[in-house]
Amino acid sequence: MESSAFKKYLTYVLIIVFCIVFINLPRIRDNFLISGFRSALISVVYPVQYVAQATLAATFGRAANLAQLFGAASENSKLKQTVSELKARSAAYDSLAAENTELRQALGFYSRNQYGYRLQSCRIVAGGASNLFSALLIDRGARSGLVRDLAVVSENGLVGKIDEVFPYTARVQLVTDPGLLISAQVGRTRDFGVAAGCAQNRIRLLYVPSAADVRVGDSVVTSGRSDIFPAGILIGKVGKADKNNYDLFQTISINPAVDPAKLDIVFVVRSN
Amino acid sequence: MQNFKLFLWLLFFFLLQSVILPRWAVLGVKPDLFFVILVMVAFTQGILPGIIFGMFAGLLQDFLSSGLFVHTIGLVVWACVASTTHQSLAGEGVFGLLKLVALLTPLYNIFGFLLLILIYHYSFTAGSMFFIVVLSTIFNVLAAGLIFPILSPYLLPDGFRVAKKDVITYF
Repeated sequence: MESSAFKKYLTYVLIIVFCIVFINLPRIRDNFLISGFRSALISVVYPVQYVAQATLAATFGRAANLAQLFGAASENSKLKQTVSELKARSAAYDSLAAENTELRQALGFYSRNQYGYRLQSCRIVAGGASNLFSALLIDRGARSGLVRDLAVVSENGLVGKIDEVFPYTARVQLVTDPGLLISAQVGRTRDFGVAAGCAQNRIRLLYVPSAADVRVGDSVVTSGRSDIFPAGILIGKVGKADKNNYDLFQTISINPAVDPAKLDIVFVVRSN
Repeated sequence: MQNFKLFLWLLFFFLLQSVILPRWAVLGVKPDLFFVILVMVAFTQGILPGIIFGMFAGLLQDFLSSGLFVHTIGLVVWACVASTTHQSLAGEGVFGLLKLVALLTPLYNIFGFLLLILIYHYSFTAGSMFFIVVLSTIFNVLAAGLIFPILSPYLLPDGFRVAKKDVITYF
């Protein structure tokens, strides 16, 4: 066999072996070597992402201010400059006021503590880098006492659960992730079902009997029949409910209560 | 110095993908810059640099998005496919690259969906899969058009001919 043909087949064989190995790696994800490698890689990347996120927040927070200042520079009149500066300050105050409101809402939610659990606030460092999964990285990890399978909520409702913990950060699997199934209940009718993410910021409610009277706009909450999610956390509202006389279950689509793109602060639900 | 600049650009695109683009995602779909750059590397540098880049980028993407290795497997396999089929599938030049991105993005996504559904029993709906495939293909082609002029001085120091010759020589 020619050496180039041999090299080609060897490459294909190696890639098949590589695929088999990597398909089976998640089964031993708690292995010391694999989790150590994961933690090391994420610990290297995390500070860079943290700085980028902080810079981004600061830049967008003061964008209006900067725009005003550039506008003032183009004006060749002292009076107009003063007015522009005042406008710039006003824009900065608006930005600060908006941030203040957001923080107050978060604080209010934290103080009310409607779920009766200890909550730990976390900032979002990065979003998921993939279209196949829905995930977030938060700025707390094993050093802050977080462990896997803790529920994550925001003032609007359920965000997801902690999927993996690294020393200084943790990955949150969002409710819209196709791999996450949650025991859910329709608020008005008390019918049970399973909320399953299907990517693209949508959730389906599975296994709700055709006889159930589910209507568009009904709230869907966590049922509490789970070790991870406390009862009564809003998952979303029914956006579409189709029933067929011949089917056992309805086809229900839920609009999630939380838009992950707009989240800045989330809360991890700790033990009682 | 060239390598350092390339590293800084890759770092920038990584931050763009993980910090900024998730906030601008359209219905949860965003361009996959890792895949776009992988196709460029495989297209211009050949199979081995493609596989090495695919493995590193895939691991990073997997650790940030899931505990599974779907991206690592996908990027390595598609680096191999991109470097071996680009001549017959797409042709030369920037338009060849854009055509290759347009052809391979749906296949890469479908490969990922199949892995997740068949092995990990994920529940995607046909509608959401179709939506993700179509939108990500459009985004990736646009992203490739924007990124290629930035990265081409580092990936193609001597022009297309030398890079293609390297690929042909390898096989």
